[in-house]
Amino acid sequence: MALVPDPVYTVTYTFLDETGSKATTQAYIRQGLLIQDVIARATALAAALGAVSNAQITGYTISRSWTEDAPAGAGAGSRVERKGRTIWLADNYKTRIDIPSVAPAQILSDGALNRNSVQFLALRAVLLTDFVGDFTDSRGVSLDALAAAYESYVRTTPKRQPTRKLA
Amino acid sequence: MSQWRLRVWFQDASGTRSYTGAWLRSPNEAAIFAFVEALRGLSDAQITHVDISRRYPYTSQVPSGRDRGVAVLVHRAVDPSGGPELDAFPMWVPEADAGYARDLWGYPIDARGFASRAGYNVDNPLPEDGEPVSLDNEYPDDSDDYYLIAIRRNFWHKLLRDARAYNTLSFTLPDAQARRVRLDIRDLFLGVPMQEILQRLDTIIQLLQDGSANVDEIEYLLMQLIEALGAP
Repeated sequence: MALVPDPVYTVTYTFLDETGSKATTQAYIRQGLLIQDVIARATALAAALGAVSNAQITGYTISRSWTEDAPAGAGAGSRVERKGRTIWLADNYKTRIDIPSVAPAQILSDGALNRNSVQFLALRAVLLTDFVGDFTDSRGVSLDALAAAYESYVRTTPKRQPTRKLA
Repeated sequence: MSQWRLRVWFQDASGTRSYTGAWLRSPNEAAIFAFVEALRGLSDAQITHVDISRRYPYTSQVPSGRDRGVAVLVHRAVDPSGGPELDAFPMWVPEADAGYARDLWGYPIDARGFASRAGYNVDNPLPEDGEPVSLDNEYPDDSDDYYLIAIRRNFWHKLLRDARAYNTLSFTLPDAQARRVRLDIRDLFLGVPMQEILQRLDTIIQLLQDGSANVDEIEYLLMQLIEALGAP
Protein backbone atom coordinates (compact mmCIF):
# COMPACT_ATOMS: atom_id res chain seq x y z
CA MET A 1 0.00 0.00 0.00
CA ALA A 2 1.82 3.06 -1.21
CA LEU A 3 1.24 6.23 -3.14
CA VAL A 4 2.90 5.82 -6.52
CA PRO A 5 3.73 9.05 -8.36
CA ASP A 6 2.73 9.60 -11.96
CA PRO A 7 5.87 9.78 -14.10
CA VAL A 8 5.26 13.36 -15.18
CA TYR A 9 4.11 16.79 -14.14
CA THR A 10 1.19 17.84 -16.32
CA VAL A 11 1.12 21.42 -17.56
CA THR A 12 -2.25 22.57 -18.91
CA TYR A 13 -2.29 25.79 -20.92
CA THR A 14 -5.49 27.76 -21.40
CA PHE A 15 -6.06 29.63 -24.67
CA LEU A 16 -8.63 32.29 -25.48
CA ASP A 17 -9.41 33.30 -29.07
CA GLU A 18 -10.93 36.54 -30.26
CA THR A 19 -14.47 35.15 -30.21
CA GLY A 20 -14.13 34.30 -26.53
CA SER A 21 -13.83 30.55 -27.12
CA LYS A 22 -11.46 28.73 -24.82
CA ALA A 23 -9.21 25.76 -25.52
CA THR A 24 -6.52 23.91 -23.65
CA THR A 25 -3.43 21.95 -24.47
CA GLN A 26 -1.16 19.87 -22.31
CA ALA A 27 2.54 19.23 -22.07
CA TYR A 28 4.38 16.90 -19.72
CA ILE A 29 7.60 17.30 -17.78
CA ARG A 30 9.39 14.38 -16.21
CA GLN A 31 9.42 13.91 -12.45
CA GLY A 32 12.68 14.28 -10.60
CA LEU A 33 13.32 17.94 -11.34
CA LEU A 34 13.29 20.77 -8.84
CA ILE A 35 9.92 22.48 -8.90
CA GLN A 36 11.64 25.74 -9.89
CA ASP A 37 12.95 24.01 -13.02
CA VAL A 38 9.49 22.68 -13.83
CA ILE A 39 8.00 26.16 -13.47
CA ALA A 40 10.77 27.64 -15.61
CA ARG A 41 10.14 25.14 -18.41
CA ALA A 42 6.38 25.65 -18.23
CA THR A 43 6.83 29.41 -18.42
CA ALA A 44 9.22 29.12 -21.36
CA LEU A 45 6.77 26.93 -23.26
CA ALA A 46 3.98 29.42 -22.55
CA ALA A 47 6.03 32.10 -24.25
CA ALA A 48 6.77 29.81 -27.20
CA LEU A 49 3.11 28.83 -27.58
CA GLY A 50 2.11 32.47 -27.45
CA ALA A 51 4.52 33.19 -30.26
CA VAL A 52 3.09 30.56 -32.64
CA SER A 53 -0.60 30.98 -31.81
CA ASN A 54 -3.00 33.77 -32.62
CA ALA A 55 -4.85 33.08 -29.39
CA GLN A 56 -4.13 34.59 -26.01
CA ILE A 57 -2.67 32.36 -23.30
CA THR A 58 -4.47 33.25 -20.09
CA GLY A 59 -2.52 30.97 -17.79
CA TYR A 60 -1.29 27.50 -17.12
CA THR A 61 -1.73 24.93 -14.38
CA ILE A 62 1.02 22.64 -13.15
CA SER A 63 -0.26 19.47 -11.54
CA ARG A 64 1.11 16.26 -10.19
CA SER A 65 -0.62 13.17 -8.81
CA TRP A 66 -0.03 10.00 -6.87
CA THR A 67 -2.15 6.85 -7.03
CA GLU A 68 -2.61 4.32 -4.25
CA ASP A 69 -1.27 1.08 -5.71
CA ALA A 70 -3.09 -1.27 -3.32
CA PRO A 71 -5.96 0.46 -1.53
CA ALA A 72 -6.73 -1.17 1.80
CA GLY A 73 -10.46 -1.10 1.14
CA ALA A 74 -13.10 1.08 2.75
CA GLY A 75 -14.39 0.21 6.18
CA ALA A 76 -17.86 -1.31 6.50
CA GLY A 77 -20.48 1.41 6.86
CA SER A 78 -18.15 4.18 5.77
CA ARG A 79 -19.93 7.13 4.10
CA VAL A 80 -18.11 10.14 2.72
CA GLU A 81 -21.06 12.43 3.48
CA ARG A 82 -20.21 12.05 7.15
CA LYS A 83 -17.45 14.58 7.62
CA GLY A 84 -15.07 15.40 10.37
CA ARG A 85 -15.04 19.16 10.01
CA THR A 86 -11.94 20.91 11.25
CA ILE A 87 -11.61 24.69 11.30
CA TRP A 88 -8.13 26.18 11.47
CA LEU A 89 -6.97 29.73 12.02
CA ALA A 90 -4.48 31.57 9.87
CA ASP A 91 -3.83 34.94 11.45
CA ASN A 92 -7.42 34.91 12.77
CA TYR A 93 -8.92 34.04 9.38
CA LYS A 94 -10.67 30.69 9.26
CA THR A 95 -9.99 27.88 6.82
CA ARG A 96 -11.67 24.49 6.72
CA ILE A 97 -10.34 20.98 6.16
CA ASP A 98 -12.93 18.20 6.09
CA ILE A 99 -12.22 14.55 6.77
CA PRO A 100 -14.53 12.40 4.61
CA SER A 101 -16.09 9.48 6.48
CA VAL A 102 -14.48 10.33 9.79
CA ALA A 103 -14.07 7.16 11.87
CA PRO A 104 -16.83 6.80 14.49
CA ALA A 105 -14.18 6.19 17.16
CA GLN A 106 -13.03 9.79 16.69
CA ILE A 107 -16.42 11.28 17.52
CA LEU A 108 -17.36 12.09 21.10
CA SER A 109 -20.91 11.74 22.39
CA ASP A 110 -21.52 15.50 22.05
CA GLY A 111 -20.59 15.48 18.36
CA ALA A 112 -17.15 17.00 18.74
CA LEU A 113 -14.07 15.24 17.42
CA ASN A 114 -11.75 13.84 20.04
CA ARG A 115 -8.93 16.38 19.88
CA ASN A 116 -6.77 14.28 22.17
CA SER A 117 -6.78 11.08 20.15
CA VAL A 118 -3.45 9.94 18.76
CA GLN A 119 -4.79 10.27 15.23
CA PHE A 120 -6.07 13.80 15.71
CA LEU A 121 -2.91 14.94 17.45
CA ALA A 122 -0.99 13.60 14.44
CA LEU A 123 -3.05 15.72 12.06
CA ARG A 124 -2.64 18.75 14.28
CA ALA A 125 1.12 18.25 14.42
CA VAL A 126 1.38 17.96 10.63
CA LEU A 127 -0.58 21.16 10.05
CA LEU A 128 0.80 23.31 12.85
CA THR A 129 4.22 22.20 14.04
CA ASP A 130 5.94 19.52 11.94
CA PHE A 131 5.92 21.51 8.70
CA VAL A 132 5.81 25.11 9.88
CA GLY A 133 4.90 27.41 7.01
CA ASP A 134 3.98 24.67 4.53
CA PHE A 135 0.24 24.51 5.22
CA THR A 136 -1.60 27.77 4.64
CA ASP A 137 -5.04 29.17 3.95
CA SER A 138 -5.99 30.19 0.42
CA ARG A 139 -4.30 33.57 0.89
CA GLY A 140 -0.98 31.94 1.68
CA VAL A 141 -0.98 32.73 5.41
CA SER A 142 0.35 29.89 7.57
CA LEU A 143 -2.05 27.95 9.78
CA ASP A 144 -1.40 28.76 13.41
CA ALA A 145 -4.20 27.32 15.54
CA LEU A 146 -7.15 24.96 15.67
CA ALA A 147 -10.52 26.69 16.09
CA ALA A 148 -13.05 23.84 15.97
CA ALA A 149 -13.43 20.13 15.22
CA TYR A 150 -16.79 18.42 15.01
CA GLU A 151 -18.86 15.92 13.10
CA SER A 152 -20.90 17.32 10.24
CA TYR A 153 -22.98 16.02 7.35
CA VAL A 154 -23.31 17.23 3.81
CA ARG A 155 -26.42 16.88 1.68
CA THR A 156 -26.21 13.96 -0.70
CA THR A 157 -25.85 15.24 -4.24
CA PRO A 158 -26.56 13.12 -7.32
CA LYS A 159 -22.87 12.41 -7.71
CA ARG A 160 -22.67 11.23 -4.14
CA GLN A 161 -25.56 8.82 -4.28
CA PRO A 162 -24.51 5.25 -3.55
CA THR A 163 -23.66 3.17 -6.57
CA ARG A 164 -26.26 0.66 -5.39
CA LYS A 165 -29.32 2.82 -4.83
CA LEU A 166 -32.14 0.31 -4.41
CA ALA A 167 -32.62 -2.43 -1.89
CA MET B 1 -4.62 30.75 -7.09
CA SER B 2 -1.33 31.73 -5.56
CA GLN B 3 -0.94 28.56 -3.50
CA TRP B 4 -0.71 24.88 -4.30
CA ARG B 5 -4.03 23.09 -3.93
CA LEU B 6 -3.71 19.61 -2.47
CA ARG B 7 -6.59 17.18 -2.86
CA VAL B 8 -6.85 13.77 -1.19
CA TRP B 9 -9.48 11.51 -2.74
CA PHE B 10 -11.52 9.02 -0.72
CA GLN B 11 -13.90 6.22 -1.60
CA ASP B 12 -16.37 4.81 0.90
CA ALA B 13 -17.99 1.39 1.20
CA SER B 14 -20.73 2.34 -1.27
CA GLY B 15 -18.20 3.33 -3.92
CA THR B 16 -18.95 7.04 -3.51
CA ARG B 17 -15.98 9.34 -3.94
CA SER B 18 -15.15 12.60 -2.27
CA TYR B 19 -12.06 14.65 -1.61
CA THR B 20 -10.69 16.96 0.95
CA GLY B 21 -8.31 19.77 0.23
CA ALA B 22 -5.59 21.82 1.82
CA TRP B 23 -3.46 24.74 0.69
CA LEU B 24 0.30 24.44 0.54
CA ARG B 25 3.01 27.01 0.00
CA SER B 26 5.11 24.53 -1.99
CA PRO B 27 4.64 20.96 -3.24
CA ASN B 28 6.67 19.51 -0.36
CA GLU B 29 6.38 15.72 -0.69
CA ALA B 30 7.17 15.06 2.97
CA ALA B 31 4.38 17.39 4.10
CA ILE B 32 1.95 15.91 1.57
CA PHE B 33 2.60 12.33 2.61
CA ALA B 34 2.41 13.20 6.32
CA PHE B 35 -0.94 14.91 5.75
CA VAL B 36 -2.24 11.90 3.84
CA GLU B 37 -1.12 9.49 6.57
CA ALA B 38 -2.79 11.63 9.24
CA LEU B 39 -6.04 11.57 7.27
CA ARG B 40 -5.71 7.82 6.78
CA GLY B 41 -5.75 7.43 10.55
CA LEU B 42 -8.85 9.57 11.00
CA SER B 43 -11.09 8.20 8.23
CA ASP B 44 -12.56 4.77 7.67
CA ALA B 45 -12.87 5.34 3.93
CA GLN B 46 -10.02 4.34 1.63
CA ILE B 47 -7.70 6.84 0.02
CA THR B 48 -7.48 6.25 -3.73
CA HIS B 49 -5.26 9.02 -5.02
CA VAL B 50 -3.74 12.39 -4.29
CA ASP B 51 -3.14 15.36 -6.56
CA ILE B 52 -1.70 18.80 -6.27
CA SER B 53 -1.92 21.70 -8.67
CA ARG B 54 -1.26 25.37 -8.99
CA ARG B 55 -2.44 27.82 -11.63
CA TYR B 56 -0.13 30.50 -12.90
CA PRO B 57 -1.73 33.48 -14.60
CA TYR B 58 0.00 34.46 -17.81
CA THR B 59 -0.39 37.53 -19.93
CA SER B 60 0.28 37.09 -23.61
CA GLN B 61 -0.90 39.05 -26.62
CA VAL B 62 -4.50 40.07 -27.25
CA PRO B 63 -6.16 37.37 -29.37
CA SER B 64 -6.25 38.31 -33.02
CA GLY B 65 -7.83 36.45 -35.91
CA ARG B 66 -9.42 33.06 -36.08
CA ASP B 67 -7.99 31.69 -39.26
CA ARG B 68 -5.06 29.47 -38.42
CA GLY B 69 -6.99 26.37 -37.42
CA VAL B 70 -5.41 23.86 -35.12
CA ALA B 71 -1.96 22.35 -35.38
CA VAL B 72 -1.19 18.95 -33.98
CA LEU B 73 2.45 18.31 -33.28
CA VAL B 74 3.36 14.66 -33.09
CA HIS B 75 6.82 13.89 -31.84
CA ARG B 76 8.70 10.72 -31.13
CA ALA B 77 9.24 9.87 -27.48
CA VAL B 78 12.18 7.68 -26.49
CA ASP B 79 13.59 6.05 -23.42
CA PRO B 80 15.57 8.50 -21.22
CA SER B 81 18.70 6.50 -21.91
CA GLY B 82 18.14 6.70 -25.65
CA GLY B 83 17.16 3.77 -27.79
CA PRO B 84 14.11 3.07 -29.86
CA GLU B 85 10.96 5.06 -30.20
CA LEU B 86 8.56 4.00 -27.45
CA ASP B 87 5.73 6.48 -27.47
CA ALA B 88 4.25 9.46 -29.26
CA PHE B 89 3.79 12.92 -27.85
CA PRO B 90 0.95 14.62 -29.67
CA MET B 91 0.27 18.21 -28.76
CA TRP B 92 -2.72 20.32 -29.71
CA VAL B 93 -1.99 23.98 -30.44
CA PRO B 94 -5.05 26.16 -31.06
CA GLU B 95 -4.84 28.96 -33.59
CA ALA B 96 -1.48 27.85 -34.98
CA ASP B 97 -1.21 26.09 -38.32
CA ALA B 98 1.69 23.83 -39.14
CA GLY B 99 3.81 26.60 -40.58
CA TYR B 100 3.75 28.50 -37.32
CA ALA B 101 3.82 25.42 -35.12
CA ARG B 102 7.14 24.34 -36.65
CA ASP B 103 8.68 27.32 -34.89
CA LEU B 104 7.56 26.15 -31.47
CA TRP B 105 10.67 24.19 -30.60
CA GLY B 106 14.10 25.72 -30.78
CA TYR B 107 15.61 28.70 -29.07
CA PRO B 108 14.74 29.40 -26.25
CA ILE B 109 12.67 26.28 -25.56
CA ASP B 110 13.83 22.78 -26.46
CA ALA B 111 11.55 19.79 -26.95
CA ARG B 112 14.01 17.68 -24.98
CA GLY B 113 12.83 19.28 -21.74
CA PHE B 114 9.44 17.60 -22.10
CA ALA B 115 8.07 14.09 -21.96
CA SER B 116 5.20 12.00 -23.24
CA ARG B 117 2.39 11.25 -20.83
CA ALA B 118 3.95 7.91 -19.99
CA GLY B 119 7.20 9.66 -19.05
CA TYR B 120 9.36 8.98 -22.09
CA ASN B 121 11.62 11.77 -23.28
CA VAL B 122 10.42 13.75 -26.25
CA ASP B 123 13.01 13.67 -28.96
CA ASN B 124 13.83 16.78 -30.89
CA PRO B 125 11.93 16.76 -34.15
CA LEU B 126 14.18 15.99 -37.09
CA PRO B 127 13.57 17.05 -40.69
CA GLU B 128 11.25 14.55 -42.40
CA ASP B 129 11.01 12.53 -39.20
CA GLY B 130 8.47 13.35 -36.56
CA GLU B 131 7.98 16.85 -37.82
CA PRO B 132 4.97 18.80 -36.68
CA VAL B 133 1.90 17.92 -38.68
CA SER B 134 -1.30 19.83 -39.07
CA LEU B 135 -4.90 18.76 -39.36
CA ASP B 136 -5.24 21.33 -42.10
CA ASN B 137 -2.93 20.56 -44.93
CA GLU B 138 0.26 18.78 -44.04
CA TYR B 139 -0.87 15.41 -42.90
CA PRO B 140 1.60 12.60 -43.59
CA ASP B 141 0.90 10.08 -46.30
CA ASP B 142 -0.69 6.71 -45.72
CA SER B 143 2.57 5.14 -44.62
CA ASP B 144 2.29 7.20 -41.44
CA ASP B 145 -0.82 5.60 -40.04
CA TYR B 146 0.94 5.84 -36.70
CA TYR B 147 0.19 9.56 -36.55
CA LEU B 148 -3.50 9.11 -37.14
CA ILE B 149 -3.64 6.56 -34.34
CA ALA B 150 -1.86 8.93 -31.99
CA ILE B 151 -4.20 11.77 -32.84
CA ARG B 152 -7.33 9.67 -32.51
CA ARG B 153 -6.16 8.27 -29.19
CA ASN B 154 -5.28 11.57 -27.62
CA PHE B 155 -7.68 14.04 -29.13
CA TRP B 156 -10.78 12.02 -29.78
CA HIS B 157 -12.92 14.05 -27.38
CA LYS B 158 -11.75 17.31 -28.89
CA LEU B 159 -12.35 16.07 -32.39
CA LEU B 160 -15.86 15.12 -31.43
CA ARG B 161 -16.45 18.64 -30.24
CA ASP B 162 -15.25 20.03 -33.50
CA ALA B 163 -16.55 17.76 -36.21
CA ARG B 164 -15.93 20.40 -38.83
CA ALA B 165 -12.19 20.33 -38.21
CA TYR B 166 -12.23 16.55 -38.27
CA ASN B 167 -14.11 16.57 -41.54
CA THR B 168 -11.49 18.90 -42.98
CA LEU B 169 -8.90 16.37 -41.96
CA SER B 170 -10.70 13.68 -43.92
CA PHE B 171 -10.26 15.67 -47.15
CA THR B 172 -6.50 15.71 -46.72
CA LEU B 173 -6.05 12.00 -46.12
CA PRO B 174 -5.50 9.05 -48.38
CA ASP B 175 -8.72 7.17 -49.14
CA ALA B 176 -8.42 4.41 -46.56
CA GLN B 177 -7.81 6.73 -43.65
CA ALA B 178 -10.29 9.31 -44.86
CA ARG B 179 -12.95 6.64 -44.83
CA ARG B 180 -12.17 5.86 -41.22
CA VAL B 181 -12.43 9.51 -40.30
CA ARG B 182 -15.77 9.88 -42.08
CA LEU B 183 -17.09 6.85 -40.23
CA ASP B 184 -16.05 8.47 -36.96
CA ILE B 185 -17.96 11.59 -37.92
CA ARG B 186 -20.98 9.49 -38.75
CA ASP B 187 -20.67 7.94 -35.29
CA LEU B 188 -20.68 11.43 -33.88
CA PHE B 189 -23.95 12.40 -35.49
CA LEU B 190 -25.71 9.07 -35.13
CA GLY B 191 -24.40 8.24 -31.70
CA VAL B 192 -23.56 4.77 -33.00
CA PRO B 193 -20.37 2.94 -32.02
CA MET B 194 -19.41 2.31 -35.64
CA GLN B 195 -16.13 0.66 -34.75
CA GLU B 196 -17.96 -2.06 -32.83
CA ILE B 197 -20.35 -2.59 -35.71
CA LEU B 198 -17.53 -2.94 -38.18
CA GLN B 199 -15.76 -5.42 -35.95
CA ARG B 200 -18.90 -7.58 -35.75
CA LEU B 201 -19.44 -7.39 -39.49
CA ASP B 202 -15.86 -8.49 -39.97
CA THR B 203 -16.50 -11.42 -37.66
CA ILE B 204 -19.62 -12.41 -39.59
CA ILE B 205 -17.80 -12.24 -42.90
CA GLN B 206 -14.94 -14.28 -41.52
CA LEU B 207 -17.31 -16.95 -40.17
CA LEU B 208 -19.06 -17.16 -43.52
CA GLN B 209 -15.77 -17.37 -45.42
CA ASP B 210 -14.49 -20.11 -43.14
CA GLY B 211 -17.68 -22.06 -43.62
CA SER B 212 -17.67 -22.63 -39.88
CA ALA B 213 -20.63 -20.43 -39.00
CA ASN B 214 -23.83 -21.78 -37.57
CA VAL B 215 -27.17 -20.03 -37.62
CA ASP B 216 -27.15 -19.26 -33.90
CA GLU B 217 -23.82 -17.48 -34.06
CA ILE B 218 -24.84 -15.38 -37.04
CA GLU B 219 -28.19 -14.55 -35.48
CA TYR B 220 -26.53 -13.53 -32.21
CA LEU B 221 -24.10 -11.21 -33.99
CA LEU B 222 -26.86 -9.70 -36.12
CA MET B 223 -28.97 -9.05 -33.03
CA GLN B 224 -26.03 -7.25 -31.48
CA LEU B 225 -25.72 -5.12 -34.59
CA ILE B 226 -29.41 -4.23 -34.51
CA GLU B 227 -29.11 -3.29 -30.86
CA ALA B 228 -26.05 -1.14 -31.50
CA LEU B 229 -27.84 0.65 -34.31
CA GLY B 230 -30.52 1.66 -31.85
CA ALA B 231 -33.45 -0.32 -33.19
CA PRO B 232 -36.34 -0.76 -30.71
